[in-house]
Amino acid sequence: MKSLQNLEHTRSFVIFLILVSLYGIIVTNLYKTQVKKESFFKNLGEKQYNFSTTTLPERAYIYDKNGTPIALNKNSYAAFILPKQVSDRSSIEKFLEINFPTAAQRLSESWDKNFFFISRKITTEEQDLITQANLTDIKILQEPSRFYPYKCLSPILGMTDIDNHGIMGLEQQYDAVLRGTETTHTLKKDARSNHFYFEKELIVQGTPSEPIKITIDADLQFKIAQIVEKTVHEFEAKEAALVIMDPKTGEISAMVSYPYFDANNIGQLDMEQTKNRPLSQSFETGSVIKVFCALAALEMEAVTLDEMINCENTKETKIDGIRVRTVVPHGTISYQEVIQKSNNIGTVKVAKRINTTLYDFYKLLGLGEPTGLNFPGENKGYVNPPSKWSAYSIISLSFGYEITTNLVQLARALSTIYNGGNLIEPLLVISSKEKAPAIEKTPLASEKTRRDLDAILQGYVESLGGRRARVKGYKVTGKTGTSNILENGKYNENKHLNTFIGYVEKGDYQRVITVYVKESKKAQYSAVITAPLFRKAAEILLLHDHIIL
Amino acid sequence: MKKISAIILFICFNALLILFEVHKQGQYLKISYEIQKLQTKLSELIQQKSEAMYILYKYQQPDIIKKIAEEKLAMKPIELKDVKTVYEITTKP
Repeated sequence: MKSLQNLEHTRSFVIFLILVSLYGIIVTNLYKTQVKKESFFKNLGEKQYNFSTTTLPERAYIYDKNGTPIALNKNSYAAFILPKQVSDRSSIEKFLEINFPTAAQRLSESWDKNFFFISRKITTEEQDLITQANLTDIKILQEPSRFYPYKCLSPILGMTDIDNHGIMGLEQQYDAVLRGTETTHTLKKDARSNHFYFEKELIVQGTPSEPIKITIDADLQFKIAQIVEKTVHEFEAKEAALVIMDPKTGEISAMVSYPYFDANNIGQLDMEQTKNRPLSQSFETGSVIKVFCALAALEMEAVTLDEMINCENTKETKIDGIRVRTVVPHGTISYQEVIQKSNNIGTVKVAKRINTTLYDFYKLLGLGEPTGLNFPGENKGYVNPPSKWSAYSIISLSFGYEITTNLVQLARALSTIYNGGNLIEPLLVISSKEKAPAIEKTPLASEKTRRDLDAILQGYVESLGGRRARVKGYKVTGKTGTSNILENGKYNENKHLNTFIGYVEKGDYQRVITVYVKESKKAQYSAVITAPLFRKAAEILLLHDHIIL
Repeated sequence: MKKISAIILFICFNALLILFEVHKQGQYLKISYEIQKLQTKLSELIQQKSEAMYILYKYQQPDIIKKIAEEKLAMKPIELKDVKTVYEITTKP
């Protein structure tokens, strides 16, 4: 009986020991997991449940003046593989060698990588090829990209790169605004489901992308681009550009540059075509500069419109020992006629009276100065300063050499004659922010000077030289200019740049139009090339804006 | 007896609170999932809108419209001289 009791005790003791040992093991393991390896398991758990997501807002649209989207989004597709996880390497290699040879070459050195892009922005045909090949290792990724319905706006809008970052034009200038910034959240998720979360915690608050609205009227731009293109082909010219600006507000309603590129199809991109010439091309203007030379002389009271100037009735003369040439000889004519007939000899004689003040006026009129648009690639031009002048400089500067400007600068300078003498800031992007009230400035030109210049320019269009710029029933003023193109340090007399700066008015409606055509092969004179282009542009503009008689 | 009733009441009250808590959590999760479903739907719709806008403006490209107008409909660009304002004179009967 006693031995039976002993056996029971021993048994209980053994069971007790086993249980204690088991509990001991559990406690030891708990200690290991909960205390010793606490951070390891905590991280592991957090990785399973916590998920970090970063979202970038959709790139915002760019709208034209009327609210038409001119830069939209579309989906493009990219093909990729995960080289380390590829199951059938030989099939992939074979497929790529036939259909994507460059990718096959790149892949031969990238098998050790985790991710490999076969091709980005693939075409529908390429996508079909991949689908038909039925290779599960090749995956398709959806990526955002841009679409531009108006090709003629490409030099202004620019484009985005493969990662949808703006790399040219307004896309580059306003990239930060159009993109917005990333927002980061941490999500607590069910380990088995990837679709839903329990909690969402904001880590980094991003900024939304904001659309921009520009002053350009896309339909008007399209119509104007058509006639600019037609003129380039008609005269077998190299390039042309045109700007339409409201002289009072500085709003640019059209800014055409031809040839332009197709931002939707940039397989073979010619960098020359990406230029927004009205801003990035500065050039020697030729005789159009006489308008501003006259403005300076009249404002300085160095001359009056009816003062008779002796133009020596010759094509070539010497002034202070320096040779000056003009196209058509004239005798003694009024200063108004000097400018209207574009006589270089008469212009130089008056310019010499104001000497270095001419430079000051050019600068005040914004020539050779930034336009304030901050457009990428803007060329602000150059006006030779008096400190670098040679004896020839005053002569050159009076008829458009030793000075380079762009078309927007010319439009802005001409606007001063028609907006009360103020140098306006050109406007390309309509800002949602309220504008600071304009500070009253002394006009650059008095009312008398402006009236005199208006008479000169109107007279020019009514004369034989500017008759091709006339628009029946509307007030039109303007001036042509022709300059030789500088090549390898010498002026090429067979290559010209033809310009026209003009103004069209009907009642309260006023617009300034500036235009140039470069290297025309079929004609030489601006009266034949740019004056008709100005008229056509003015007619389209008036029709488009419903300024009908 | 009084003591037992108090304990039962206490337990029942706690059980009720637990039930409410469970119900609240359930409702919270349900609404949270509903929000997430709607958010997914919203992003799908935004995507579809973007795609639709792209298709719309792809076919509204002025080059395409001009080609159709000139080649298929034999239309010609209008000129300023062809347009005149028509004044309507209305007189009371």
